[in-house]
Amino acid sequence: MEPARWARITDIYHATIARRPEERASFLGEECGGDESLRKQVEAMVKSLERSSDFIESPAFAVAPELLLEEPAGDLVGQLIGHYRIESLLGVGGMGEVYLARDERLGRKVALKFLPKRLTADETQLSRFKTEARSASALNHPNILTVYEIGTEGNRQFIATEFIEGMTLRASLARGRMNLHNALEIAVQVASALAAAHEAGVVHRDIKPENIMLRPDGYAKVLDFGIAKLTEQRLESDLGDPGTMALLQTRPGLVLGTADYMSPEQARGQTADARSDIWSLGVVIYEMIRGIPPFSGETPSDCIVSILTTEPQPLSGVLPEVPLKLESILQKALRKNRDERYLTIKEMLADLRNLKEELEAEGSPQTKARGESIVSKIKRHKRGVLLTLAAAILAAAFAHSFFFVAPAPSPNEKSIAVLPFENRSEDKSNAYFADGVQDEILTRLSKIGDLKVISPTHVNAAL
Amino acid sequence: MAAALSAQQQVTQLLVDWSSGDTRALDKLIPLVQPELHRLAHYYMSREGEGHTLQTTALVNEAYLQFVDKTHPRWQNRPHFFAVAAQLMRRIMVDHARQRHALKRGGAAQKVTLDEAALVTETRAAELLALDEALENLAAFDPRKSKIVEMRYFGGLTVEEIAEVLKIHANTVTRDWNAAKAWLYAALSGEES
Repeated sequence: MEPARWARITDIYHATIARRPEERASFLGEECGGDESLRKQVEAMVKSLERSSDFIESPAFAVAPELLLEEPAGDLVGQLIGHYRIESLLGVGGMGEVYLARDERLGRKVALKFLPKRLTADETQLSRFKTEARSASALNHPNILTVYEIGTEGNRQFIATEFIEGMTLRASLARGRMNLHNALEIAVQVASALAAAHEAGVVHRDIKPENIMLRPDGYAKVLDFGIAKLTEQRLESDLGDPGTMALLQTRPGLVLGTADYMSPEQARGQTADARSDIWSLGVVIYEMIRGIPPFSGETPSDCIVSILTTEPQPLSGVLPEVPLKLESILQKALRKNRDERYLTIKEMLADLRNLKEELEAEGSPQTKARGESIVSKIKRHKRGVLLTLAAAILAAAFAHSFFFVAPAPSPNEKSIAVLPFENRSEDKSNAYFADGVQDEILTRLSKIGDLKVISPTHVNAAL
Repeated sequence: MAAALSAQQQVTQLLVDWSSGDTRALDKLIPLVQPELHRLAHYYMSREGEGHTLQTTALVNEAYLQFVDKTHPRWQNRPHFFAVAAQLMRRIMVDHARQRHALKRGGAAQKVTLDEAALVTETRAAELLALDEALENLAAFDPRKSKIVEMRYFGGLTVEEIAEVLKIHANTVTRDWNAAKAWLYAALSGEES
């Protein structure tokens, strides 16, 4: 098109749309004279204007973010990775893609998380992460997500974990804030997970609602222990001002993640320790109760400024039902100087528990918590269960020789089946624990190299 | 820190080279900015239902800041840098769209997918390629409007930032944007002669 002609088209176009719709046709007729093609072109643009209100208004990377990736997410569905058959994509996050998969050897559902290559390139960091993830998982804590395996497929690292049906605390908070009782229930469970981890020398470093899963039965599970280790970079002292920008440059992944839960020391680029988890849990508790986090900003940098410089608005100022005791727990967790915070998460856990018990004693019986009491019951039952466990494995090995004729194992191959457990207690809420025990034994046994573990689906089918 | 800084300086230098016509700079540039793009992509892919309220522009601005060396004389002026970054974003997205499109065409016989997400991506890839071509046509007779669309649609720049880059009034940017949008929409829906 000739620039002069295009200039004429746009002039008439702007003049036309400045007029009222009913005047436009006659105006166009006059302006274009007998130039039919000119009139048609302007008409097409005017018509487009009416229809194109949303057209290209949102940036391309927000509409089609998958086109920023060199390899499409979700392309693993249907593939066999090790002995895991990928069934569907559960989600994509800053820390990689998570798939639902079936462990074909053990016949159970697992969640497979593929870590982004950029995070696993550094061998030292990767091995530190593995050590932490394993030691956290080895704690076998009811509020810590169980890691089954950390494996490699091609040049990508994946983590196989137990699959949890439920939603993240983030998704739950998106529906609205929580009542005091539920918030404390979750707070106690997360604090208890952290207490166990800290005792074993593992710091989470990235406690936030996205990393807390809520199961329909009231259990909270903390995910991704140690993963934050992959994004941690030591701040070198040669940087003039170790302030906000230093952080933005040295903490890849931060900028597009959220800074809301980050402790002041992490915001300054200093190494996180157990007290950083205490801070982040404080932020999460505040947000659960109020519905909005205590520190926020339009951009991560603004948020960091708020973390470093402002005091959160007291909850009781906004919500009169918030007990002063909770206020003081949060104040102790959210001290900017980590030396002034709770010394250990155990102390914070004790305070949270006491407060929860006090509120329950005051409250009506229906509002009493169940989740925590289940946990303590499990602890009491654990010893008994362990004793029957050995018997069950023996029985299972025995049963195996009767039930599993085909496919015949080679003479030298040892195999074992784990029979389902039954909840014989009166408390039906313990039933899930029976599955958990079977699962746990399967996991442990499957780590033994020479032993063939019969899949529970086969076992159940044979029973 | 030395490594991080040098990566930034590297990216900045490569952007300077690329914007002054060195096409080989792009091959070195893309692997360096890919992690940032990943994060941006993951952010948008996981955002739904997550209750984040960060503004797109602010977010992208911070992402850009991650890979630019602000002390470089050429980037004293932020919007100018964003304009080049928008160009880079366009180039990368269009290249990926082209690969996806070709993959689907060529690979259809071997791999039939009923995955809805893949179909959506395929449609978007085709649309993006068509838009890129229309933008190219527009540039032939009105480079400024084409540039404005590139900065806003691919770079996420605001009207004010675009005005600053082009040294024109914000009202002019809005006016150009509206005309360009109408023309592009007409061109893509086949109504333009």
